[in-house]
Amino acid sequence: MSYLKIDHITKSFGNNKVLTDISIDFEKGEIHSLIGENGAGKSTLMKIIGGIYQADSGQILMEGKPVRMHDPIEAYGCGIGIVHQELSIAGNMTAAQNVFVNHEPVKWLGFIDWKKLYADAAAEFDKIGANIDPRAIAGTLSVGMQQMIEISKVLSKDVNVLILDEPTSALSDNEIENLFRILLELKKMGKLIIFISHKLNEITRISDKVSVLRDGTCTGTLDREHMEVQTIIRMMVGRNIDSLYPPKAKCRSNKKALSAEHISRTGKFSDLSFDICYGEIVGMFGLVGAGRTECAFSVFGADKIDEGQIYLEGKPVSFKNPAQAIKEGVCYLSEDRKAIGLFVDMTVKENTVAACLKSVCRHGQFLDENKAKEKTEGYIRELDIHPDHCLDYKVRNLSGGNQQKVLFAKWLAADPRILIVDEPTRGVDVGAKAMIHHILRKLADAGMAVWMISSELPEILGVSDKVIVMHEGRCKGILENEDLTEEDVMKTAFREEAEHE
Amino acid sequence: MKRGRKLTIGNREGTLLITILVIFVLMCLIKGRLFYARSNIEAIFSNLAYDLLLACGMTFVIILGGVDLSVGAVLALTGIICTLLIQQGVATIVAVLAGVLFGAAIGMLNGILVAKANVAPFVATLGTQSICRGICYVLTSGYFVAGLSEEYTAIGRGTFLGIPNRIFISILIMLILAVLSRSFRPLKNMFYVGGNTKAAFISGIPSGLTTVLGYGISGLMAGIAAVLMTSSLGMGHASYGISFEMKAISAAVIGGANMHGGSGSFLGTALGVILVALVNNVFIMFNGSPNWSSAISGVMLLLAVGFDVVRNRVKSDRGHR
Repeated sequence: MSYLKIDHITKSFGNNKVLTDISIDFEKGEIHSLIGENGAGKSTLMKIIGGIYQADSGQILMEGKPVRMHDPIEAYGCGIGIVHQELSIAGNMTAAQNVFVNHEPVKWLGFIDWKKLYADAAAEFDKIGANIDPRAIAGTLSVGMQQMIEISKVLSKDVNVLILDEPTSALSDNEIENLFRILLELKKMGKLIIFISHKLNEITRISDKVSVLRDGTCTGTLDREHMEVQTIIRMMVGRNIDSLYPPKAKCRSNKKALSAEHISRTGKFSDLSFDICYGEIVGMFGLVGAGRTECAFSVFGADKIDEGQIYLEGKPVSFKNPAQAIKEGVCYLSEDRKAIGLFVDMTVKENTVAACLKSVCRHGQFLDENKAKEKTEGYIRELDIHPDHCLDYKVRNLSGGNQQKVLFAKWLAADPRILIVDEPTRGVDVGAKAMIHHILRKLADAGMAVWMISSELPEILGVSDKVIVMHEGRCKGILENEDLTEEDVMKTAFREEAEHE
Repeated sequence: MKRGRKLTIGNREGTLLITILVIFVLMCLIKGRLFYARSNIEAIFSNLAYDLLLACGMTFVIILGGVDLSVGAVLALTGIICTLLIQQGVATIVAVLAGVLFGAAIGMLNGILVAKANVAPFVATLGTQSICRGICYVLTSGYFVAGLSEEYTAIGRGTFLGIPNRIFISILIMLILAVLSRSFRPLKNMFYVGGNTKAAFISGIPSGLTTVLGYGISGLMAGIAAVLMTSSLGMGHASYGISFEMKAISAAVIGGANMHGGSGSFLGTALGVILVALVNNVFIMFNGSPNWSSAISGVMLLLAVGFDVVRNRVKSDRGHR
C-alpha cells in the first residue's frame, strides 16, 4: 500500500478537461518528479493534492484511507505542504517572521514570543542546513535564501509531503546544489518530496521516480533505472525530438552589428568589450549576478553607461531610452516576462503590437485594428501559439510557454536587426524550448544578430556560435563555440580564482 | 453540464445599460408623467454634465493606475479665474481659453509630479487640491464672483437643437474620448502604461509623457466643467466642486475601471454617472430626502465592487488557467 495515492483523478474547468483519469502512487522517503509540457496539468494536479482545487471525480488516498481536502489548511492537516513557484515572501519582515507567519509562538494574551520565534526559526533553518540569519530582513536575501525560508515555512507545519513547484527556475547553480542537498536530507528523514521541474538533467539527477504528464493524462512512471532523457521526452511530447538544438550558423557574416568598447556601469559591470555580427547567435553566459542583464539594459537604453562606447554598425550611439533603441532596430526580450515583459491583463493582440504601435497605426496615430489583427494572426501561426484563436485572450490565461511566445511575437513585430534575448527559455517546457531555439537560429540565418543571455550551459553551448563568459561584472573570455565543453566555459568563468589558489 | 454555466454575465456596459433601462421603464410605469416629463429628464441630465466630464478625465487617470483628487478644487479655481476675467471685461473667448488651459496646466503639473518626481498620485493630487482650494479663498475671500456678461452666461444657459449646451457639450466630449481611447495612439498608450509601467517603458512607449497627458486631460475636463458650471449658474465661488472628485472616482469604478490601472471604459463611466443620477432622482421621486444622495452613491459603488467580486469568482470557478 502506497503512502499517498491519487486514484483516477479527473478535473475539468468548464468544457476544458485538464486532467483525465490520473493515477499515481507515491511512497515515503522518495523524491518523485513530475514532468510535462506547460499546460499538461502538473500544476492543477498539485493544486488538487494541496487542497486548492477539488477533483471532479476520483480520490486521494493516504495510507489507504481516502482523504478530502477543501482548502490548503486541511491539506496541512493531512501533512501536505506546497512551495509554490512564485514565492510568497513578505519582503520587509524578518526571515523568522516569514517562517512562522500565522502561527507565531505566543505568550499570554497572544503577544508574540520574539525570543522563541527567533530560536525556533534558527532551529528550522538548522534542520535543512540553511545558513540564514533569522533576524535578516527577508527582502534583502537572495532568491535562493528566500526559497529556503519558504521551505522552512512549509516544514515548520510538520508536513510529510513536500511539493515543490519548479523550485529551481530562479536559482543559481550553487543555490540549486544547496537545494538538492536539502531535498536529499529530507528524503532521508522519510519525507515524500514531489518535485516539479522543466529541467530534465535535474530530474534525472535527483529523482527516484518520475511521472510524465501529457495533455492531462499520465503517460507513465519511470523508476531510476529507466530514467533516460530520450524516453522521458518521448513520453512528454509523444514523439522523439531528434536534435534538441538547432544546427549552427550556415554562414556568419563579418559585418559587425553591435560593438561595445570598454563599457562600464558602476557596481554592475566593468570594462566590457565585445562584437556581435549579423547572422550569428552570441551567447552570454554567467551565473546569476554576473551583470549580464544589467549590461543588456545599458546597451538597450533602459539604464545608463558610465564609461565606454556602443557602436551600431560602426557608428557610435547612445540610447537615452528603449524607444530610441527600438527605433534603431535593437530589441530586448526581458528575462522576467511577467514583471517587465508582458501586459498580462491585456489581450494577445494588444501585447503583440505593443512595441510596434506606430507601424499598425494609420498616419502613425490611429490604430488600425485590421492591421493589428493581421500581424498578430501571422505570429500566432508562425510561432504556433496555442490556442490558435487566442487573438483576444488575456495573456494571463495562456500557459507559460505560450506567454513566452507572445513575448517573442511582440519583439519580432518590432522588426529588430539586433535581438537581445535574456533567458529566453526560462520556465518553458521542452517542446517550446526547442522551438524557441530553432526560431533564434532561423532569425540569425535570415541575417539578424542575436545576443542570447542564459545561465543554462547546455543552452549556451547548444545554440550559440560564440560565447561571452561573464563573471561578477567582468568579461572573462570570448570563446568560439567549436567543440566547446561545459568545463571549458566554467573554467573560463572562474579563471582568475583558480590562478589565485 | 449545469445549465447555470451557460448563462454568461454580460460585460459591464451591458449590465449597466440594462439596469438603467429597467429602472427607467419601471419609473415610467409607476410615476408616469411625473417621471418622464421633459423637465424631470432635463433635471437628471443637467446636473450630470459636470460629473460626466470629471468622470471621463478621472477614467484616464485610473487607467494609468493613479487617482486625481484635485479635480473638484481645479474646477472651483478655474471657475473663479474665468469669472474674474469676465468681470474685468476680458473678451469671453480669451477668458474661457485661459480657464480651460489653466485647468489642463494644473493637471499636467500633477502628471509631472507623478511621472517625473515619482510622487504617489494620491499625495501629489491631494497637494494640488489643497493649493487650488486655498487660492480660491485667497482670490475671493469667500464671496461670490458675480456680475457676468450675458455673452458668458449664454455658454451654459444656451441650448443647441433644443438640448441644453452643457449636456450637449459633455456628452459630445465623452463620445469623442470614448472613440479616441480605442484607437488614438497617445490615449491607447495609457492602457499599456497603466497595465504594466515597466513593460511599457521597455516596449518603447513614452510612459512619462503619457502620464502627463492623462492627468492633463483630467485637468482639462475640470476646466471645461468649470466654464459650463459658472456660466450656467452665473457666478463663481470657492466652494464649487467640493467632493466632486469622489463622485468621479465612484462613477468610473461603477463603470468598470480598475483602481489597479490598465482597464476602464468611457461608455461604462458615462453609464455609471447616469445610473447614479437616475437612482438619486428615483429616490427623490418617492419623496426621499436629497440628503441621502451621497449615501446612495456609496451603496451603488459598493454594489458595483461586490458585483465584480462575484463575477470574478464565477470566472475562476470556470477555471481560466
